[in-house]
Amino acid sequence: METPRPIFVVGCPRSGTTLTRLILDSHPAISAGPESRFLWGLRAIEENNWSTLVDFGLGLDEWHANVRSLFEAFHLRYAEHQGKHRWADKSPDYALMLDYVDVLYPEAQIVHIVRDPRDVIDAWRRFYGWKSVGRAAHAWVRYVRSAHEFATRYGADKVMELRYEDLVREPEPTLRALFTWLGESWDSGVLDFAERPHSFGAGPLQMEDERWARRNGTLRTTSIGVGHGPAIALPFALVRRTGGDLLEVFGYA
Amino acid sequence: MWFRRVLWTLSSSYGLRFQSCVDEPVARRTDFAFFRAAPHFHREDLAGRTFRGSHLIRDPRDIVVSGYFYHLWTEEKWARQPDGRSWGGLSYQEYLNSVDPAQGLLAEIERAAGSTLADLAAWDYEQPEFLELRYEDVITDEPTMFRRLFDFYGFDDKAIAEGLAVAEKVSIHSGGPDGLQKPRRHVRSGKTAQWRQHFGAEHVALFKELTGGLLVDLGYESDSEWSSESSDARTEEED
Repeated sequence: METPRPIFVVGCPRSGTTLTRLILDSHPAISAGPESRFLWGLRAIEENNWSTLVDFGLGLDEWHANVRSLFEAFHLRYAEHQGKHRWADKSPDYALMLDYVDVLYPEAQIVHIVRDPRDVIDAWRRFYGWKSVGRAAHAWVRYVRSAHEFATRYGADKVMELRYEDLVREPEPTLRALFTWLGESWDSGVLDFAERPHSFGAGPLQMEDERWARRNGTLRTTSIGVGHGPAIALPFALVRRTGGDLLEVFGYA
Repeated sequence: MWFRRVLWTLSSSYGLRFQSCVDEPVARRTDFAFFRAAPHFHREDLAGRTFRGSHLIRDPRDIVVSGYFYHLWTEEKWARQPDGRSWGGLSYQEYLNSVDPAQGLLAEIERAAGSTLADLAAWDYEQPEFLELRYEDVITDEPTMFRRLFDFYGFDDKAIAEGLAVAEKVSIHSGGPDGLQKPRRHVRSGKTAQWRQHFGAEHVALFKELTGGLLVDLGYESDSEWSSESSDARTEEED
């Protein structure tokens, strides 16, 4: 049996990557465990201690095979626990290290979630506090540029870029396209993601949590446009200054 | 910091409970709450309580100039820690000290647009419980403005007189032991329109690009055609 292609979900934090993980994790063939960010630590070993690894007799290819094996171990464990055969990893900031992901997993498929930067900045403000709005503006440009440049280089078979707004406004057509691209069948149960557990030993998500509400065939859309007021105008100008081209590409100009 | 000192000194004189709020809510027993930055104020934390407040703004361009000089030496941790992503691997302070003043001021404009100036744009200026004050007005006529402030707070005549005495004692114009006009204090000189000495054409352009109509909204300019009239003096050290 052919080994299925791993899936990586990336994007600027607060862009809907968690929602995407929960949906993928609800598909009968795919497991998407909790966010780990472990690759940062594993890459740091190679970057900071390469001469030591050489002293142990390791070559780069062998080291990467070891990293791959270790990284897969917990994803496969979680997949096995769920009775699934394909794993997905959701770590938003792998958007900044997709070249390394590609070294380890050249066969991987990357899902890049992009959200209106005004709403991302507003979400950072609510989640991380007011002092974060400037950082959010710079982060949006950095994350989206990094992932989009990778997507441009590698093409549509390797990377799919999804707008958060399309995902929540029209979940079924957007997700049908996503699962077709992933080579998986459509299963309407993915939209019941809130009724399932999404980590080992956990219960279902809290249905009363407004974040996961579904109404009339859409997901929660009240989070769209929340950052379009004067409070976010200046940080958005920062985005426009360095990421104006990206705003055009994704329809946020 | 100047206002904080006035209010803190006044609280001490009257035995009032003063609280400097950052992330924690205003305590039930607090009489005077001071918020160093407007986003720290959360109306919902005061639900069911009556209150009076004041909100002080300053010409955003002078905020930038003041911030630039302050960040050259401040001991605030964030300014001294390299974040590894921006400023070429340097801390913000190291970066400012490694470039010429004109370049540093551009960095400060960009930094402020994502922090202090964004706070100014975000504030609701129509809150009836708040007296809106401009730094430029206060510094021009401290007694009148402080009288107006204390009156708005609901002080009686005796308290107003006491407040004015405190305000005079820690006046920004005072060079004495309690004054704030000293080297390496957060308030450097207290002068207004300092930006004219430091803003060149590139600073004006970047400021306009990032802040849009903020100056007009706050009443510091009547339209967006403003410019610097002293670009040749912009790199001189402060007087």
